[in-house]
Amino acid sequence: MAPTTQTPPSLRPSPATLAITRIVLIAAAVLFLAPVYWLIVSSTKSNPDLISSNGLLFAGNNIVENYTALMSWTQGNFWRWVGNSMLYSTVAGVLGTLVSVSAGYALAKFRMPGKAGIQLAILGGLLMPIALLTVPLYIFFNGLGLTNTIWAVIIPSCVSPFGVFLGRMFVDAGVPDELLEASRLDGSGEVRTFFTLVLRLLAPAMVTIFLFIFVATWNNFLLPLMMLNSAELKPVTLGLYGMMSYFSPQYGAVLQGALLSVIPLVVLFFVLQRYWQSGLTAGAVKG
Amino acid sequence: MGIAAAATMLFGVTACSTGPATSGEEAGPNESITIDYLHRLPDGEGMTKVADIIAEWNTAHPDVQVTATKFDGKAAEMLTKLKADVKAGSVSCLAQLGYSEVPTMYTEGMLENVTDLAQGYVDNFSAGAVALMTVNGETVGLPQDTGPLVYYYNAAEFERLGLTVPTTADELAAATTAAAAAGKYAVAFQPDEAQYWLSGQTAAAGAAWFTAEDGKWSVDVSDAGTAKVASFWQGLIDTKSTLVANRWGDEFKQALVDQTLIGTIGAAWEAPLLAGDMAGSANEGQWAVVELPTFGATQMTGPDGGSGVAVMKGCAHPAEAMDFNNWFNTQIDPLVSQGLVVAAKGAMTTPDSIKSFYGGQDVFSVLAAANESLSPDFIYIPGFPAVNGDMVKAADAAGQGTAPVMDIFTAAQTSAIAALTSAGLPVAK
Repeated sequence: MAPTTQTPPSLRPSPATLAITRIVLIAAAVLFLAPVYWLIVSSTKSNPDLISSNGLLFAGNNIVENYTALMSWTQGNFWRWVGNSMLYSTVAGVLGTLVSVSAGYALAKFRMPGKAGIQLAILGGLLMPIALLTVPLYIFFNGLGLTNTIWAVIIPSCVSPFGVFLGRMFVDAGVPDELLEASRLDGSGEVRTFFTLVLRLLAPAMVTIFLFIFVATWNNFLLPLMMLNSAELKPVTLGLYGMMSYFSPQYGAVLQGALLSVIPLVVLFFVLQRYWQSGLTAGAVKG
Repeated sequence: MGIAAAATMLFGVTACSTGPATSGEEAGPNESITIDYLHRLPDGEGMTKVADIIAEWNTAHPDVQVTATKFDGKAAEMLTKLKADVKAGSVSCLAQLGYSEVPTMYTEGMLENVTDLAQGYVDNFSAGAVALMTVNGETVGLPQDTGPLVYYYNAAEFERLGLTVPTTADELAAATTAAAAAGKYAVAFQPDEAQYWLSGQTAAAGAAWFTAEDGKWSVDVSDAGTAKVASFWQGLIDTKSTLVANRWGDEFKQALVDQTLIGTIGAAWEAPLLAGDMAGSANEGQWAVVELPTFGATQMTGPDGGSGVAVMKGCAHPAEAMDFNNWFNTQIDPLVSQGLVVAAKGAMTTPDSIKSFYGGQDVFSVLAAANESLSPDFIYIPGFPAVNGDMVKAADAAGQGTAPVMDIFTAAQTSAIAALTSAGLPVAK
């Protein structure tokens, strides 16, 4: 199983290459993990400790006080907000993935009038920052009477030009025309072919798109800020920001909130990681 | 279909926003009406929560129910939302606005004129603060909190160094020079706060940069008060007697905690913040507050921040909204617990936590006195928030000694005229 034992000697990397690779990887790991470490350390500190003590060393233990402050500042809504973020991101991720893959499939495999124009429009959408669309979207959703509902966040988040773009790429690379022709000859309808055959082939790609949309929705800040009023509907990003927008925030409490709120994301990534790996290599070793 | 609905909403707003007086009839005689109130109060740990204050009103007024919503973003983001809300016809009746934002929102047609409704209430509030909620003689809401400049200092350190508490700008400069000789700073020059903090000082010195006459704005920073403030800071920066640090940077807080900074000119609302920054350090119980040393001929101070609650354009029940507005903003002690220095007249009780940090001093009586001596002449122009960038840039340069302090004020003038011109407002030459 272990690949190194089976690699012929001529293909093994030289010791120098191996050393350099390790050094670069360790440096990258440190670079990426250092902020997380800083976050863990800082979330245990009080405001004066944050200023007066070394940022990379633990000072007084203020964990419980920070947690109490976090609960008080969020009026006990903190975990509800984390749940909201999970809900919005999951629903938007699932629906958005389905939309992206089917749109990508249609663009890649069907001939239709104006296809080039549609592709161009989607690519154009890729360049459009979502922040620019938020205010028009708000007025639009207000007309529909959907502001201050979960749909005001979920529906716009389902639409991902990048997801469609990725979906098209994955279909191009991973779904051979021959297979579709064969299934048509065997009498499978287009809908059945899509749901039973194409989606199965695209599973790794879908995980990739799902994670992209999930993270984008989780991080989207301006949309819920504009759309939502009720404290019960806020996602966690918005709630934590509400603690920061005043002059003298309880930094330790906010940082603890930030730390606790990324835990679901970390778990999700660990679970879906192996799918993502195969997703990124899809089509890379086509004979 | 959505577009059609949105368009209907837009037309709906323009149609009814002209007649708020008649829209009060929408509620039937026995139905209760709902007033929405959008705010940015911190609502933090140990404070009397906004929801609890409102609950008291709602119990007493079953026919006028108030829903308060905390807006989580910055002030500028809240303006964006309010403008979108007014266009969409779904705006909250009441919204918290910074004093400098009021003229901007007013000229953009986002606020209701409630001058008549306000008549019965304005006497409950500090006149200087009411003036800041009034544009062109039209009152648009009621003031909530104020930020008169005061002087905070470490009394124990002052005593140890043999310094007297300054009552004039010249005495403050002398104390600062003496403290510098002992390696301490008795003031800090704060480039990031240049816009309101420095303009507030010029107001204290008697300046009134902005005046509106015959429908035209004039901008003038060439008065004696502004020159006095400029020369005060220039002297201290040239001799390196003042700390130069951003107010909201770590360097400032660090200097407070390790007692290199033993005095600072700050807004009244900084009293709990300074106490919070220095909590648990040797500074506890050592600090004190006095009114701002006089920069001009009389005991006067200038505004540095503060906000009011305005009635937004399209509010269906302005009379009830103003009734609540008056009630809410005269709930002095709950608002004090939110960290505010309230604009309403009446005694503010100093919270125990603040009292103990300031050595048992009745801090809020000093702040209330400062409120009373707020300059009534210093008003803001529409678009004043846009002046911030240029002033801060000039203040950074002045703090580093690469440009004179007076440049900050000339930058303010240039930038203010540009802001007025770009808003299409007439400027007197």
